[in-house]
Amino acid sequence: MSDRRELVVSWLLPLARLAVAGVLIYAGLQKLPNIRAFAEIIGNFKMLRAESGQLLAVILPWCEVTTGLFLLCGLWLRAAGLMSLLMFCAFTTATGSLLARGLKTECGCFGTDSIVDWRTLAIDLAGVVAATAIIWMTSVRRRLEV
Amino acid sequence: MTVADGKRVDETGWLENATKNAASWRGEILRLALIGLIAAVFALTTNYLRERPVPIWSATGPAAWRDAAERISCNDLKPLLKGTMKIFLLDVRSPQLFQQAHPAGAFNAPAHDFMDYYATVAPYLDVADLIVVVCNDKDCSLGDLVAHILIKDLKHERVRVLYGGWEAYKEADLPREGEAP
Repeated sequence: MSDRRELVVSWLLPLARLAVAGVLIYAGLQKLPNIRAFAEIIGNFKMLRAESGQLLAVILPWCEVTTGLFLLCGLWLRAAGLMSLLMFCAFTTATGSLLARGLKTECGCFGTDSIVDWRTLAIDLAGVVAATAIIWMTSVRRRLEV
Repeated sequence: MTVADGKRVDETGWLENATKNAASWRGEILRLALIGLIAAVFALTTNYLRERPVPIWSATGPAAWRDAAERISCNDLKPLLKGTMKIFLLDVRSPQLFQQAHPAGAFNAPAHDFMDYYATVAPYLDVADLIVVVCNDKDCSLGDLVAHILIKDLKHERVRVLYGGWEAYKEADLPREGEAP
């Protein structure tokens, strides 16, 4: 059983890490050149006060890039997994809220790209699953190493 | 030591494990906070160094709630144009750009002088099932302005701004007029 687990973890963990790191770094880098536009998109979500929205617009892209780099380098994996889980949970909540309110506005997920729809929610949920898998697999790996 | 369900349970061992786990998760939370701190330092420094930094503490900054009209994507518009719904395409770009090329069947009412053109287009707007405002590209603040006037001041319902504007319309290869062959 532990051999099987070891095999699954040794294959799936790097895959999940690379996938989540790739998505986060790409998303962060797409937002960084135009933080103002991203702040406007956050404003269109009508979920946060202007000040909080602006602070989020400034910090979130860097959070994505930093977390992505930690995941890519395999440093502080469980903490980076937790951070990505928090971000994807927030994205899922925001997307779900927009869809529930029927607001058709830009997503801002990868810069100023597309309108929020069910695919956006699916991507966010996939992110939640992948981040949870990273945390779980890192914990399993630790237990196996002990 | 206790006996439960025929198995020996080492309470001290369990407690030790639980303590170790809690300490390990505390460490993770600390690392998580450090990752956030590193990101925040980079974010605030680069924002400060930007030519036009985002005014974080301003209540009227870019993240202030705007009256942005709802968007419609070209993908969603395509079947509607082929269907039986009366779609009114309102091109709010300048007359020069409109003359170069425009969506088939669109009316031109430049955003800056919209009210001057309104009397001409009003009868069509009244009978339209959906009014789609077409601006130049993604940065569509003038489209939002016209949509705002249509919804709030002129009480038109079902107004959408075309997401991506004329650029997206061309890319989606939707019917056009006025283009040089």
